[in-house]
Amino acid sequence: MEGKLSEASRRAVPSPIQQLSHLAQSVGAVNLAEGFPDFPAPAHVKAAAAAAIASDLNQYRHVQGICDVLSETMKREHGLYVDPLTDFAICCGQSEAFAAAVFAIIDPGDEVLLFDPAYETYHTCIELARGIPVYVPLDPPSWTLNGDKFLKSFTSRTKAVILNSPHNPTGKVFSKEELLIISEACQEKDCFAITDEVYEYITYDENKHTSLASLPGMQERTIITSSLSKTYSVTGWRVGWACAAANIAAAIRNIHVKLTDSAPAPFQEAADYAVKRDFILQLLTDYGFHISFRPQGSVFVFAELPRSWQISDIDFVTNLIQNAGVAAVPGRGFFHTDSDDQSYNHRYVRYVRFAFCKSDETLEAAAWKMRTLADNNGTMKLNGK
Amino acid sequence: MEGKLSEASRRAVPSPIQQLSHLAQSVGAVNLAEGFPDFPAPAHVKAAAAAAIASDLNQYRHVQGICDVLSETMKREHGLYVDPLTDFAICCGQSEAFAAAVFAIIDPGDEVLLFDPAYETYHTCIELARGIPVYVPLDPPSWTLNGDKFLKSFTSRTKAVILNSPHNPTGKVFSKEELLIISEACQEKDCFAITDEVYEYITYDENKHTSLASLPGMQERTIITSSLSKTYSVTGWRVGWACAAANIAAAIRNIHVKLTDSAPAPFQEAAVIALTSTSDYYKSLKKDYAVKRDFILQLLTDYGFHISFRPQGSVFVFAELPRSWQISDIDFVTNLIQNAGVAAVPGRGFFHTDSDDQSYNHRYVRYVRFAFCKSDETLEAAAWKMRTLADNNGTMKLNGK
Repeated sequence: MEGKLSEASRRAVPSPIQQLSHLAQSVGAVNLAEGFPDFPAPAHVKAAAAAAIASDLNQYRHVQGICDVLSETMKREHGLYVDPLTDFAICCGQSEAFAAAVFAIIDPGDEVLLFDPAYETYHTCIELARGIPVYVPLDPPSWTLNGDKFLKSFTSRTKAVILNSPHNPTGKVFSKEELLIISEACQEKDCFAITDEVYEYITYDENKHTSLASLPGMQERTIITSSLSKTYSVTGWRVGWACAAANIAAAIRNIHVKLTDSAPAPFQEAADYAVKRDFILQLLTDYGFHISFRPQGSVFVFAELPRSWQISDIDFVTNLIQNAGVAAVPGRGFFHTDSDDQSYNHRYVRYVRFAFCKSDETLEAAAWKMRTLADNNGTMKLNGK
Repeated sequence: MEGKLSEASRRAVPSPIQQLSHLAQSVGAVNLAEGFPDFPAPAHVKAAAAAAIASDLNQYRHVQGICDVLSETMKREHGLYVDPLTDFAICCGQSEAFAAAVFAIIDPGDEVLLFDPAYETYHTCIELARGIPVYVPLDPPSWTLNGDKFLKSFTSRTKAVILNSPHNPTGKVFSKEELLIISEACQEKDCFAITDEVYEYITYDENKHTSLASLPGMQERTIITSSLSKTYSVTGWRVGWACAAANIAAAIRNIHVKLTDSAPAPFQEAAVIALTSTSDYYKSLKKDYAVKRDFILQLLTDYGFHISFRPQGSVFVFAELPRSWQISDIDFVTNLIQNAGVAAVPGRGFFHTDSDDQSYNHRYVRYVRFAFCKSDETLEAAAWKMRTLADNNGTMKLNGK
């Protein structure tokens, strides 16, 4: 039957990266080939997944909480306003989100621009949808975008541009100027953009990840794809998402359901937990806390009041309730040592416990109230002065 | 940008099963619509997953142990000799195994035969690969394969036959005679077969699941797909597989890697534990489901249905609305959700044939699918609610009169 395999089969070859890893494994090589960690995932994320399994959240599931927190994060970090109810498709990794996005927008014969060098997988997805990959070389040594070459690559058949930033394999973070060139071209040619932002939280020095969709005119035509994998070191969990305008997201969801039905349920729950925890840590940091110890498990943050805040835990909590309408727990009730150590006694009235096992509405309301109080005070003054 | 969505987008519609589930959820209905359990997965399987996570097996992974165990099982249960090193692709559920298999063998314009009624997902996968689904109606009331109709459906463009047995939505288990008809046709026409065997361990009475690939001449041309989901009550874990001759399996693997990269790693580890469950596990799985099947058949009979076909396998009853009930499947289900707080699935979504046969067109709005993969509490609650509605109405009047 080999002669009857599809044309797509004949063109989809084994992943050279995976094959080399098998070779490396067989000779016991140190593996700096495949892009996944050999250190553990964060303990709190693993614990959340184990808890979900034990709580029997093991059936087909769409965990809306992920979308709620993602939309809050996108607003805060990129100034993007998305609707958590309509603008997301939760998929089996960024891989599947990308595949579903391609099927949602690419018709046979449509051309898709990619920047070279490029991660090998995009090509096959485009070909499965019978699109035509067209490569635009980036210029070494810094892999800069040549606007001229780029614009010349557009034809009347160009449907979409693929943007992977931060970039695999070069590590490039596309600059604001380059993003502007891409965005202007997409608007002028009325094209889609599909982004792969899986390394969004892994940038160095002064480089900051800017989401293409946040540029003027881009939100309506950009499909953002990303995942838990790299951010939380869980590449084997297969939880990712696509985010796009409602009708595009709906198309992606419909196709995703036919490809894989559902992303793994317990890991969606863990994702929900992980992003909520990060949300509250960011909120507290914005508020002025120095979070010197990030929770590894449970649903609590035990935050230390900064030295410059001349206030006890009880007074802080009282003020927070009265002035910001947000309740937390003074830390002293958890300490039991009567110590002769003066610094210890001083210390144990300096902690406040915040819980984040709360609905997204609750967390957002808390964020808004605390931010409002901070704004009103100019700085974080909760000592009654 | 809406006008620029692909043609595939325009044809892939939201799942009608999922939409009714949303209505059911909003009224707090007992859900006998979606085919997933509301009872826990087996403890030993859950524990294995938790252990894998704790042992940091959370990165991209191919767990060869799954293939080793599966090949041993297939030898023992079906007399199939497969190579665990080359003949498998581990995928994100049977769903993805099926999608990858279709992309591996279907070129644009290839025709694919399916038996009607059929699970809605196969159609979209075939269309995404630009194949042409061709439906062969099974004959009610027992959903028998009409060899004549089947053979007449082949053309020079037919590339593959899809076989889902035990069958969703009817609960049919294809007989040895029917499998022989299918196998002889596939060989004569030199076609592939893709099977969906997810309910392979859920059969009733004397019915036994026979794998099409085990028939003479079929192993080289059959792609078996199945998964953990129904056997171990973990539909949300997304671990499934395709099994086929080496070069076909390699093609499926290559495509799978581009679609989803890897099935979830910790659940692959747990799969090895699940797949080596003792024979007692499978015996009690069958026994428990048989009790549930009998319970729901009684419930429906009490309610006024005439069950002309008892499910031979799967977790579904495909019940025909009695002739005297002047109501369509959709209206019946909507009424049942709103007035009894019990959700089921209108059968029409499973039928695909636009037929000149008037009796066929009349027929396909007369079925309702009930899932019974539910806890005893759930089934009892459904029974109580439906009995209450029946009592209130005196007789089975769900047409608003």
